Amino acid sequence: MGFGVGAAPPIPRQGGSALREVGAVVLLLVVAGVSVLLSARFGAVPLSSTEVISVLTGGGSDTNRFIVWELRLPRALLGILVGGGLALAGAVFQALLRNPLAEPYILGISGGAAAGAVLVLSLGLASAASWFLPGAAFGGAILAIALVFGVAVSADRRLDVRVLLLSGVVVGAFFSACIALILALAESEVVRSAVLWMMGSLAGATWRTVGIVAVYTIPSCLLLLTLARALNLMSIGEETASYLGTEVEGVKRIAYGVASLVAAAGVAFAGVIGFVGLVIPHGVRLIMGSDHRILLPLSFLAGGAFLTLADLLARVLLAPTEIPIGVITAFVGVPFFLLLLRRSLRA
Amino acid sequence: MPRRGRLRLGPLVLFVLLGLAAGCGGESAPGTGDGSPGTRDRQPESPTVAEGGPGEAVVVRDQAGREVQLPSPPARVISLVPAATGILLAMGEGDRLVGRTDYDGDPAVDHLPSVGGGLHPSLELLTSLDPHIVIRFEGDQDRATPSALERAGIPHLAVRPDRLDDIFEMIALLGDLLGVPGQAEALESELRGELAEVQDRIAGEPPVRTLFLLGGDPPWVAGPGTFLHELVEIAGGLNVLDEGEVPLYGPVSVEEVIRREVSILLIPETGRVPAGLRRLEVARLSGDVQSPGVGVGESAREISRALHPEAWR
Amino acid sequence: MTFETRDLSVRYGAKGPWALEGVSMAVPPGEIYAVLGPNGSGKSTLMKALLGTVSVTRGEALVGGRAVAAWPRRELARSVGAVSQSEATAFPISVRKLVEMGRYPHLGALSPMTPEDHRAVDAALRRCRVLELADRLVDTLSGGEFQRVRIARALAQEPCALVLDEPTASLDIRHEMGILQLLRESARDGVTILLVTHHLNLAARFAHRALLLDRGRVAAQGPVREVFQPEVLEPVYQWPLSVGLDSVTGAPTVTPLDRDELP
Repeated sequence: MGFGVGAAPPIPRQGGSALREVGAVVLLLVVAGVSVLLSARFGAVPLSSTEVISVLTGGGSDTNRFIVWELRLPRALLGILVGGGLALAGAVFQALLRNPLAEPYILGISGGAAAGAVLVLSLGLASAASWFLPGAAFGGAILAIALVFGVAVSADRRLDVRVLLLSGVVVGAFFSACIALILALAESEVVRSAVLWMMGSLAGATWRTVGIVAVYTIPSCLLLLTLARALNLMSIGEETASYLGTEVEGVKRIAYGVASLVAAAGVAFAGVIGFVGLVIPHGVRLIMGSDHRILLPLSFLAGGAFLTLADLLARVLLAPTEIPIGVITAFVGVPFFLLLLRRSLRA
Repeated sequence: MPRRGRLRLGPLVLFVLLGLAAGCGGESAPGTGDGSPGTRDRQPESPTVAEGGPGEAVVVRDQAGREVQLPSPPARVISLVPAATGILLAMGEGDRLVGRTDYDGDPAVDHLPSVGGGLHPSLELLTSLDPHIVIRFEGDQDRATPSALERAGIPHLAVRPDRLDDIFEMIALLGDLLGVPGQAEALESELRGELAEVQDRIAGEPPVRTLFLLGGDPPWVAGPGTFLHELVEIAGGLNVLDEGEVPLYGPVSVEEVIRREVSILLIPETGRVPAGLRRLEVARLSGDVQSPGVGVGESAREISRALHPEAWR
Repeated sequence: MTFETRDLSVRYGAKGPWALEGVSMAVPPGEIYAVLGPNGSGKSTLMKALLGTVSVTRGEALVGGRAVAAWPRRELARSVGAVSQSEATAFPISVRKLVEMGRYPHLGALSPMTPEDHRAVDAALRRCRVLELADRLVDTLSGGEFQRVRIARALAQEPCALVLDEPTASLDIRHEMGILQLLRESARDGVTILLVTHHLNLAARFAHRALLLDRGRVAAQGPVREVFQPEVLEPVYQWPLSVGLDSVTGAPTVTPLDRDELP
């Protein structure tokens, strides 16, 4: 079209940037792998490296095998999936809502999940079947999503960002009120269980829960990865995204729906673990930029490694007592993030 | 503008169905295992069988109604319920204990390693201590522990000492479990004797209107379904809360307490009297009163002394 | 690439006022076509209707002879580059990355950028005189620099047509003239340019044809000399105007006169 494309020689691109991106992915893969191994090595019961290696290679005593294979490894893998899912969903929400304060629970998911869980606990049904509690939490999360979108769509057919945010606040407040009501009428055992659940924990992880969470998280994250360019455009603005070829409404529906699903699966099995979905994407953005083709996979790996390591600290610092994992994510995450922020402001 | 169909619903429904399918398959109540092989040799048919100490096979029904089988009385026991620990010690079987919780205050078990709290203990420590059986509190609060014990092939026994009968049942249950029914009977007689002695002491005295307050505002109280209620009645008190209102432990309004015309308020030393009830006469009891175990006789005496001081001079 | 509307009417909401009523216009290919009119006359709505971001209530809006609604978004974006009045980025992004987005309509979801894509980006950056800003973050740019970057992004699409809404609003003389000369070159190369602007004199100088809108309706349309007549412009702008011919460029020049009583 007459732009003289062939006329001037191309500027040599900073050839390092593609290499840098691949390097970052490899590095975080290694970090995630190391986190899992460290989680296998350390815990409330002191095991030596030799013992752990022997267990991992098929030997070791029955007790040690149980501790490493049935207690530590499922927790570590659940940490990777939940932490990774929350961080990736957080990045997606930040792009869709064009808001740096967005995080996976911003549309009421945590409120809905907690309400479902507290309801099951108050009815004494949690032991009736092992899937009741996570199923109710998941159902509550989906209900919250449906309500938020229902309210937003009835107000404005096109899922306006501001309407969504307000709708999320309102629905979240509604569920908080439900939870408060249930707890006010409940026995002390229920209240304690509910509070512990809401603080988040990877303690109940089994290979089965890892499998279920993987079924929800992995395909969803792969799907969201294919929307990376669309998310780049959406974070500039919906009008501009549309002009550059994005089917805006379709992308919004898929992205909101799938990211919410990932967050809901994480909350259902691990409780409400805050902070990961908010801070990890920002940390990755500060170092590697906002291109979602690299931001999404790196956020997943960083979030997964972060949560697994946080769980390790939660188990080990005051053994045999476990510190709630949300406490660790906050205490570790905040200074780390401030450090990154100062570095980027100075640069 | 080009329109798309309702894309969002489709994948969501698909995922939800997938998940339900994955979640529903096979696993139901705890006690039957989830099908994943434990790391010990297990016969798939009998749910909770493990190695034990010398003696005959043990078959008991715990307080959750589950049948627990052992080839012989357990030589290595961990009790996550302080009241049960106390009973074991009182029966002279403290040597079998191989671990304790942070809430076991008895100096006899101080030397044992702690697994953390009675609820949400460290699963790693619990399994690494290689118990033959774990005694746990029956309830919804901690689902991770029974699930992990089953995966490890470690039998567990649920206890639930809500009422005095439950406590005596727990004593008998533990006696059968350890193969020492005689010691259990002796302990039970001793306790029943102590309670009868208290009843005799205050026989003929008019019951004192009272309420056992745990603290808080609005205050939490012990209702008719609790052993504390029964101790109060044995000790010569009248629990002003009628049957059915607060079954176990729950809150009542300050106004309701006032309306019921309580003569003496019973409260453990750690409890706080709510502001609206400060003008009532209050009797402070030791914290041990709340323990549903071997101390019930002493607790009844203490409550009785608070309600009928003249009878105890 | 042609733009055409036939009796186009647009209203926001089922009972709102009509933003456009019965607008019929046609933009021949390879020309600079200016859309003029006072505030609220429907200029931006017309642009959005032709780009498919606003739905047509009655009539037709056609791009390249096809109804806008029938164009898949990506295909449309490969042919038409649009620069709206304003935009704001939520997260830090470099100028280069922003302009690279102009190549997205040509790329699949997962395919990386090819050397041709990078050449197109560099060429666009160069033509808009923002190449030296390529590694700067967008939120450190001035208003004018940001505007030029956005135009570069539209050029990077290598489109057959450009639709620009007030593209020179925050630019100084040098950069404003630079952009308009760039648009003129592009038109000569066959790119159709649709320009919405307040700037009457620049439109008169650079556009071939113009459309004058008045409260959603067509007040005049045709070659610039025909539209730029005082008896045509004054009733629409409701202000006394003097229209002359510039002695150097020969283009019509509009001068608003003083007026004692304000309307």
